[in-house]
Amino acid sequence: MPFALGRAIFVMGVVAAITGGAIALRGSGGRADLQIWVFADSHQRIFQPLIHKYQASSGQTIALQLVKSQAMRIRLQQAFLTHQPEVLPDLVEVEIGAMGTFFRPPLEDVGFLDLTDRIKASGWYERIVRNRFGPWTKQGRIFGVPHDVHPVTLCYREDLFREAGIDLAACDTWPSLHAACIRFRDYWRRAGYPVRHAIELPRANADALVMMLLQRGVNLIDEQNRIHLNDPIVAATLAFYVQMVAGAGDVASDSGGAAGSLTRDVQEGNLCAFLTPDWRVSELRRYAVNQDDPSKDISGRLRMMPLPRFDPGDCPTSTWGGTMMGISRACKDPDRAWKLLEYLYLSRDALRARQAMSHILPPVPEFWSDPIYQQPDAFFGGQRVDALYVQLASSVPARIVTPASAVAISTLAYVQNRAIESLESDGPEGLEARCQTWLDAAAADLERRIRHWSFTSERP
Amino acid sequence: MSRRAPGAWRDRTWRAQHRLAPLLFLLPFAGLFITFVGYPLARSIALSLRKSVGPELSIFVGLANYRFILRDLLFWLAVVNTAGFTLVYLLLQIPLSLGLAILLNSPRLRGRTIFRFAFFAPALVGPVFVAVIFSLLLAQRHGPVNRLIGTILPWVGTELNWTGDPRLAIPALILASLWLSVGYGMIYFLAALQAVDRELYEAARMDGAGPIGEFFHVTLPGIRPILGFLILVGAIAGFQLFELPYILFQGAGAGSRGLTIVMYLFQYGFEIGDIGYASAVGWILVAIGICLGGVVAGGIMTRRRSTKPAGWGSSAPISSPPVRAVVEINPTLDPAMEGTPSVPRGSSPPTSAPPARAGVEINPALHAPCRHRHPLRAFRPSFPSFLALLALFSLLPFFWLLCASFKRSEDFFASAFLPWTHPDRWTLGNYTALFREYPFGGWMINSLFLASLHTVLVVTLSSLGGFALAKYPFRFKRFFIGIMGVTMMIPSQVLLGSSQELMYQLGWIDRYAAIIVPGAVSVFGIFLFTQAMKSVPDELLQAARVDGCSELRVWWEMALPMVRPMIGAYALLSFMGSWNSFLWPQIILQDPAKYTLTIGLSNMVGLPEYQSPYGVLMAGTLLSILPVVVLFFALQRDFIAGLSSGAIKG
Repeated sequence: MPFALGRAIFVMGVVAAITGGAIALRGSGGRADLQIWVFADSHQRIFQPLIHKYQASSGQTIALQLVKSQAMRIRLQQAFLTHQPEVLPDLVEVEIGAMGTFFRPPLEDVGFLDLTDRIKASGWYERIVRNRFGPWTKQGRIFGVPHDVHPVTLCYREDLFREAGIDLAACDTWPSLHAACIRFRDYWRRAGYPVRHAIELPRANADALVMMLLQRGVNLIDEQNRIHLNDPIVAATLAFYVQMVAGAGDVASDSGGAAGSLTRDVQEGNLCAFLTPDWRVSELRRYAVNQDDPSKDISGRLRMMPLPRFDPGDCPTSTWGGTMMGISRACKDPDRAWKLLEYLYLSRDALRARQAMSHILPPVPEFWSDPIYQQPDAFFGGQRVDALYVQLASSVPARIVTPASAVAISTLAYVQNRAIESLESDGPEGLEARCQTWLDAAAADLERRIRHWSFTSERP
Repeated sequence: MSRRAPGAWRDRTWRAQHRLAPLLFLLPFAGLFITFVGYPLARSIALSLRKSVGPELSIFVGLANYRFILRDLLFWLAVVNTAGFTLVYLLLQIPLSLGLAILLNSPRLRGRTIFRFAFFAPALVGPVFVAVIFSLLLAQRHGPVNRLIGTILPWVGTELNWTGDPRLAIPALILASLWLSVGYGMIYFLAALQAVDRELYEAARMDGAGPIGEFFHVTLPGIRPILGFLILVGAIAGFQLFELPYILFQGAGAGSRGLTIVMYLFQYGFEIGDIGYASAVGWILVAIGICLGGVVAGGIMTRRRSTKPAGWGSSAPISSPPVRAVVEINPTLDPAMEGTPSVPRGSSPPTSAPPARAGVEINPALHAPCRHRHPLRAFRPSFPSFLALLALFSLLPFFWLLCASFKRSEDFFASAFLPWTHPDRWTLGNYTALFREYPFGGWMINSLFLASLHTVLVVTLSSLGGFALAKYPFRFKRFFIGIMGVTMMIPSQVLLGSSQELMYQLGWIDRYAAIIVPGAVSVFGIFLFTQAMKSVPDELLQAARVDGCSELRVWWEMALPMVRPMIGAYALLSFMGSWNSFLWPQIILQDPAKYTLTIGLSNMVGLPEYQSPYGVLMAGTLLSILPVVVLFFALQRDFIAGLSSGAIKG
């Protein structure tokens, strides 16, 4: 007799039974002694051989798992809030943009273990660049060990700028760089290259603007939760920035941020300069290989320079991104986790592996004198780019992260877009004053938001 | 006495069984409904008055959440974005779907099944995968869409920054949404068009109506119920938009122009961890939904009243009883299905087969292929090629997806499709990586398990409940239907916070039970099956009872075979819904071994600054579509017939 619900439902019932059986038989596979989550493929590639070595020497089993950023934030947040120790890792890497949300609970309910005493007792507090603890600190307590410094340089197609008769390295201020970029744009437009943009600066997000503000010593929200979104210096920088990405002075375009598309744009000469933190170098190198067309081989055609400044007192660099490794409160053996953390982040083995595979500078100044950071780099025409990063690392500005930092940055991006629209419709006259007005309103809104979302009560 | 006693006992048993049957049939659904809809709804009201950090820490704040939200410019920006998107989307989607359906309904068209699949195929993909595909299709300078624009419109060039320019955020969303949903709307319109009484066209023509007159006076009134249904469904879907912008823009997008109400709810409710806030946003969404539903329903009712006395047809094509009866159970109205029997495929003739056929009035004239003058007859010479061109555009993203799955990461942005001149650079590595480096096989098994089990459960419970509501009188029936009707107006997002809390209390966080058990409740399904079951002749059921069938057997052996097309249609919709679901599994599932395909694949996309394995992602997306495509081909006949029997009645 035919199945009354139809063959399709019958087949689905059978499929459900078979797959359900497979899932039941699959089991969980047991938990390793230590579990680590990382969010970047490059970190996974660096840690994997180190972990094999560590397992062999310690006899511990370690599971390394790649959890991409969006998923990481949601999984970690949900696991912390719903107290799911069985799904929480022992050690976890967190990206700077996600950290603020983990700081929203009261201090004693933050999902990470307070590492302040361990860091101080082990001596790392004195040996690591002090301001790199900033993003991972809440009310003076440190919840993670910084992975990097991420100084930022400006990388550019030296061949194309030279052809346009421009020595970009001579531009030591942002206005002079802007003027040089306008000359570059005009030269190539006359030469029949309408989509050759001088520099990669996004219109949609405020990442580059935030870097400029950090150069000028401005964190949108400071350690005391004071809002600096509407400081006059922000309005001035914003007004300058939007004139680089829109209007008559538009010299910029966006690559979408993905390493593959940026490299392609640089190869094709669509984007000829771009802000380059140390983590971007290896991505650039990776995607630039295997090109059959010699005209698109950018090896040797790139150069790197410190960031131009607005004022002489500004930093010659900034910082973009950042990662920490923390230990979750669910970790059953924090001592064992701490040892592994020290090995993966702060041992000589780890630093050499990191340098070889990612060019990311560690936050420990005593390591910077290592000869591996002084090698000439053929990809950059023999320039010692790691040495440049080392030189700039000591000037990297402090960056603060609070639960409202991400909202502050997206608010700034919103005002940035408004300023772009205003520039395109009303021109540059009075732009800075208009920016100030919008920033004042945005700061008032941000303050109201922080008041509403802050959570200071104790357990009910 | 001893001979009469068993008979009396049996009578009493039968009566009791008949009396209790509807309650027993409804019990599983009602129990789950109260637990997983009723309780979370009530709880979400209480939660919306609290400020919280996860389910454990919270403080009472009264109406502060509502006051804050209603004065929050970001929320209103989300409302404006959502409303703007919904309006433009509906203004484009409805005419495009209807236009395609009219073209496909032409009697002269050959290869209708192929065209139908070509246009409907994107709907099988699901919003998460569509977002992933479009994020790359729309890439500035290197994406195929910009390359195409640069070729066709060189003065525009390849510089359109679809995902980075605030002015293009909504157009990018609309482009992706239209690709996803035009075919879906077309299928509904096609089903409705095939049910319009052909005689009305003849009569209109005798009265001198031209193609445009026929369209406005016969076609449009005839499809008005489905038009209203699609507008309402489209408006609700628009206001619940989440996955598409969330993945496409990796957040709120440039200038927050991609921020929708549900994304606002998710970001501030779940990423920040304030489920009280999320619940308050949900209830404001309810208020908007009720207003919106009222406006749309009011508009439809007004149009119905105003058009009824005048013009051609009014609502006659649908309300005409003989036609309606045929539409309800007869799949042969689909011209592509000429020759199929009037009893659903694969069903056994009921024990008393003659009444089943006798109970439905079948108009033999309607079995003939449609031969009326088509409103778009002016199109005749060229429209198949025009349709072919449209179909090509509809299928092009699939071809791109196929090509992308064979590209190495170095070549991903270098060529629009494949590096044709360098076949040595094509690779199968993405497919092997999918299984070696990612637990893709496990994700596939998980998705198959969840979607199959969900479909079996939801079809069983909905058909049982629908049968009880359609065929039995019992106390509180109207009340029950009323309560369910009200909850249909409430978007599921309002339950997210309280449901998460309930799962936490039940210990179901990171358990499949949290997805399967609440998912078995579908008010929409109950209503669909109630409508479908009404078309089952009472005489047939009575005959079965006389023959000694229990109520359960009456449902199983009599009723279900009669609504088989509806089961097929609903099974496909349910399977697709579960297969593509993203938000709830994203909240519930923690262990990557338990991930579904949508969660696993979407999690491959990292921050833009870090590399994403695009080739592997495309290979995974392609493979993940295949089971739904197979199911569609298996069920497409039932699907069309089921839509005819359920949806177009309005």
